Amino acid sequence: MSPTVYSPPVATYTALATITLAGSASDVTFSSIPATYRDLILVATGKSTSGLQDQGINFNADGTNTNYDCVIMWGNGSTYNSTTSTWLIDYYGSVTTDNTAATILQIMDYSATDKHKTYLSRSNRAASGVDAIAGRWSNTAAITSIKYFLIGGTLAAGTTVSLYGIEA
Amino acid sequence: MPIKSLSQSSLLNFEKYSSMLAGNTKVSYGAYDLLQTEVLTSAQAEITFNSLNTYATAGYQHFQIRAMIRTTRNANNSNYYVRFNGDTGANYAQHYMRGNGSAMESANLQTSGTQGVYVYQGATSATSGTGTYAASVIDILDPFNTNKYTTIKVLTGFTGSISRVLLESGLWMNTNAITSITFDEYFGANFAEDTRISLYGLKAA
Repeated sequence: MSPTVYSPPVATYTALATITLAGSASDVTFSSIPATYRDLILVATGKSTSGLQDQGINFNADGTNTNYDCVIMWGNGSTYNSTTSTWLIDYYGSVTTDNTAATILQIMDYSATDKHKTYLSRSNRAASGVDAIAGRWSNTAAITSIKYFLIGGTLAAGTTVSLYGIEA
Repeated sequence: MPIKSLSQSSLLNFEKYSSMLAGNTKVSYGAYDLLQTEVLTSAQAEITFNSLNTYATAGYQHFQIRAMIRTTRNANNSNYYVRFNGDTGANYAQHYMRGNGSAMESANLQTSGTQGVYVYQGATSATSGTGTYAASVIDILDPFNTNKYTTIKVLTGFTGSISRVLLESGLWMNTNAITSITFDEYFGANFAEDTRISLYGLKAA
């Protein structure tokens, strides 16, 4: 097989939705995501109402954490290591009451129904550290909704989460 | 075909156009465009994107590769080469840092490799677990600049029977503009069915 060549090229990296919280909320959820694209990119600049909080992700309202697994590598300025978890998308790139954390999540082949869903996350918080994560949702269903939340806290006003679609 | 009236005011409305697209929506392909994609319907040893020099004249500055890769190798992970312009000279160098769930490490993988930059542990394989594919996002910077060696950066990872996340760098020590990119399974196995590799172009301002 040879690759499909798009002529003319197809403009993509399409903005699908952006949510900025006006008040506190338990989560930000994108629903009715069309299967039109191949990958999704979620960009989050989250804030918590209290203290440092890690960010998590659920797909299609699947809240069973054993259906998710991820591997993390992190550095905090004095040491570094690797660990595993479930639906985390940051480690030292956790959010707090200020606006200094940023996370970009690449959700690959989200509309394919022959693969588990693999995602790659890069997250930073300058005062805490930096991390990279590879994760998987053990399900072949196309992703139609994404819930972004804090593992042990509440999202604060000013949290902004954007979703983009990438064709392939 | 009926002839419609043509009035002086419709011709002389004082608007000037510098394009034959006058009155029509301007064509724009955006700043981030899908250029080529391969989704395998059966196992295959190699995938090549050709005629990439045409994208230089179209105004593209950088490339991005987005991939979901599994191989037929009888193991729980694999690597794949990224080879530019078919070059098999000793012109490739690279480093990586990796987390495996319990420790982190970094190493120099090659300083004068001959087959390409290889994306270390950038693929799942036959014993990785059903439905698991490794994800990679690869940025290829300034592929048409003939004053620079070509640099790539990679974020890749997967979970399954083993789990890995890696940041990798790569260098093609050649100043030629890129005309082709070939992906090859490192151990001589095939890319498995449903493997997907897509090429995107980022426009210059």
